[in-house]
Amino acid sequence: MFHFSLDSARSVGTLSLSGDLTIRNAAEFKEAVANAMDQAKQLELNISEVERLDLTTLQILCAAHRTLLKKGRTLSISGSIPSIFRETMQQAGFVECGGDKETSGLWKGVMN
Amino acid sequence: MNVEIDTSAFTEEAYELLSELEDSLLELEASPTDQELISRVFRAMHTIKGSGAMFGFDAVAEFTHEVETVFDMARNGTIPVTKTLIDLTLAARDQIRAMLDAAAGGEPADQANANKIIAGLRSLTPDKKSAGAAPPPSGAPPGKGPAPAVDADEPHIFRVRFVPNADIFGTGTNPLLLLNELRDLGECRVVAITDKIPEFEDMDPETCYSGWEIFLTAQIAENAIRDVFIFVEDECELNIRLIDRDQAMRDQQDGKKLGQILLERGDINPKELETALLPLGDRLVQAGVISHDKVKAALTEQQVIQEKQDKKKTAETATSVRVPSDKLDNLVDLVGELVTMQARLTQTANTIGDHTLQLIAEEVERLTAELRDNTMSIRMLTIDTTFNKFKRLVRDLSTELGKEIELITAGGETELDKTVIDQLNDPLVHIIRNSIDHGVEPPDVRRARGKNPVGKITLAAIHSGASVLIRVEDDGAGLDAQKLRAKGIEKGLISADDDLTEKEAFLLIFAAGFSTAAKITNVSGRGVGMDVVRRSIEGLRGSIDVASVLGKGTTITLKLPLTLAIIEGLLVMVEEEYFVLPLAAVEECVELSREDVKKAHGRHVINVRGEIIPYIRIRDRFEISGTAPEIEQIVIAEVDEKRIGFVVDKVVGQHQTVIKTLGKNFQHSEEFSGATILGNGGVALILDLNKMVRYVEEEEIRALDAA
Amino acid sequence: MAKTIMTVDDSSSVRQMVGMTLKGAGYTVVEAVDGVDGLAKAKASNLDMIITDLNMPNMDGIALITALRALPSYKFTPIVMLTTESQATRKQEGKTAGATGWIVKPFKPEQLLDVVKKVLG
Repeated sequence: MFHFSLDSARSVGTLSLSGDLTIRNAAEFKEAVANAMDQAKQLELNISEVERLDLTTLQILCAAHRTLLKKGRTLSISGSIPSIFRETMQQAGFVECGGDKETSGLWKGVMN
Repeated sequence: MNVEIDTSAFTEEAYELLSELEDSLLELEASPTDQELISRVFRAMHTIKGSGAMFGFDAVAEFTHEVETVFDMARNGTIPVTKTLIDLTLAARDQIRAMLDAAAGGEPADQANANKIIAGLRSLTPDKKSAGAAPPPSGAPPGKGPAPAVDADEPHIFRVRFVPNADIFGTGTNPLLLLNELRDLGECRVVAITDKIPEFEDMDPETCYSGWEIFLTAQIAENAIRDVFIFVEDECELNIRLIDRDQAMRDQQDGKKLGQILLERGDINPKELETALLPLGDRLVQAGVISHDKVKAALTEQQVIQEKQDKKKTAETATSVRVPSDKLDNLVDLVGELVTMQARLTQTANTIGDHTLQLIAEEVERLTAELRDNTMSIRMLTIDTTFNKFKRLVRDLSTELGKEIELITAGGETELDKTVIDQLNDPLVHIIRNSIDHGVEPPDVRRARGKNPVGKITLAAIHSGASVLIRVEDDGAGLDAQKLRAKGIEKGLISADDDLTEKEAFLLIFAAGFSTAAKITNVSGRGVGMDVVRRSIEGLRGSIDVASVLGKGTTITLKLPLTLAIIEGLLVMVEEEYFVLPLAAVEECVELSREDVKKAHGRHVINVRGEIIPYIRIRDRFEISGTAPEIEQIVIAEVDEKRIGFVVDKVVGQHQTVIKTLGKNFQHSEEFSGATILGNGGVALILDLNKMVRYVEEEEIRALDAA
Repeated sequence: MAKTIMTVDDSSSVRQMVGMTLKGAGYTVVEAVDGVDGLAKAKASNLDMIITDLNMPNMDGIALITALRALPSYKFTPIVMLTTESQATRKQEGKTAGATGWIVKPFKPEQLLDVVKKVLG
């Protein structure tokens, strides 16, 4: 469900997510993200295998992105973006995840 | 954007709404519980108020607001629809009209009257009557005030603020599903408010930190939105507001300003707004006053409202286009000239005899005819607007005279040329006034005569060939031929020994200086007689007829041409002169040989299949010199229900005639109704057959008298 | 994959009506006769939604909801209770226990499906 790998040369960590990512495993998901944040300076999320997600997923990603930005680090999306991801974001009106304009960059990448 | 044009767009719409309003009110008086009618009145007021404010008619908007408020209560069932309410609303309607007229440069509206109406309306509202508020409508859930009424038949923009409690997930609720449900209701814009999402370390993954602002454009009532949130109403903050109504409309001509929206929404206070510089949204965010999401939500609100307006504009454009009627007149003139040129083209093509050119000429002829018909149809209006005006007239006048009269209209969908309709109004007013005043008897008289105390006036229009017949029928006292005759003699219109038929006696009412009213009343005795009516109708190339049965009622029938601008004519020649006879009257053409003339022994009659038909020689009538050809042509036409022949040298053929009115110098030539320009550039006079026959008859009578 | 819904009711006719309706709409249905039965079956299967009556022998609906919410796997699962108009206070209790929503008896099959769609998507 969550697989983390670290490219030590580039200090880029990639968290690969797959299957269901909903409130039922939101706690585990947050834990996985927290671990990844601890290990990598720059964090990449591969969400290409995600099958289900909900509001909690979006909230966690949003919080992580903001916190990392504040610390001068980055969170980015890698790999292909499944359509369910786009749909859920649109449903939730998270097209621009607020805070300020910079943070919305994460989502813009997803939507484009 | 031209302010001038915008204003006229509003006033035109307002006038239309006012006339609809009048109809609705009168109908409402008959069925005061008809919810649809009440809503219609409310909507009319609502629109006038809304767009009035938008176009800077603040006084109109404020005044209308008062009426709207009262009707809103009627709509909610808080107050009943009473005659007083209808009277006041009708008066208000007239006041609004006066205010619009005043704005257009007319006389200033009477402010005292406006105040009187407002005071009257306010006295109808319950809080003036008693201190206690009206009980909430039954069936409303306890603990909740009555939901603001929103008519469900036009789309509104709702702003839904939905902020679930942090523990909402604990009830198995998925807020995204609720958002989806809203999407099913209509067009939806969803903006998440995420500024409550904390730092990553501090966040509980199972807590809801999100809230939403949803802009829903839908044709629904507010309750439909509340229903979506029914399971979570105690577990969220829910705020539904209609953002496209009333006050909001005023600000929307250019869309609301962002700052204004933020202010109204309570996201910022005015001081914060002042300190921020442009670009406003960014500044506010930077200053930490509000979050980016809130700016985004406000921007979305701005956008949604703008879109609705744009859509509304588009919809209006699609259904109808408003143009000033003089533009239409210009178009008709141009089409007229085109028809003339086309005739010339056809003629030239035939002269040259080139086949290709003739084909082109034929095609142009076809197109021109189509263009002409289309242009004419644009000018055609249904007569119901005119008819509906009379409902009010009848209501007011009959009340004034203490009579009870019901107006029945039929054939309102009948179409007539705009010019005819415009000029028809005054004559009809006069005829109807006469019916109310002289025709229908007071209720006690009617009762005594065994009639229904409520009198009846029927106003009907029907098509009849190239004419429209308009009938004004009353079930009143009828005309008394004897009295009319006596009056005619008294007024010196006829001599005592004149032997008048009943019909001729009736027609006396149309003679100048004839009035049978014993006393001049406020209603019909306004110095204009029925003779003016007759002249107006004849000016429209129409005719007027009267039938009456004493004690039973009177029927006045107006016969009017469908259009004034173009007639189908028959082009004829005498020597080098061209004349046009209206084709509608023409029945057939026969030859007239010298032999036939001889057989008639000098009398101007011809035997056509056993029928003796009198004829008029155009050559003689207009003293055209030259010698008539061996065989002349007689055009037989129906004039005043008689068949009359008109002798010409040659019948050229059918001709579409664009009527040009004659110059002042020729206005006295009443035998012509106008002139037309021919394809070859020549001029043809259009004969007014009715008048011509009348003149010839008069001359012959004089000649006989002299002999 | 078809979603699984459990109907908990001591009345077999209600269970049947609910079951038929849901199956007809393509859901997999698990039936339970009371709270105890329902809780056991919930633990044994992976349910997407639960529809429960409130007045039942052994363990009533409120107790069932409370017990289900205490289980990690049913903490966030939609639970809809069947109530009657006269049970306003019971409805409130159910909400407090963690019910997602309610259906007022008697109801038509379409109303049931509307609510299922509302809470399950």
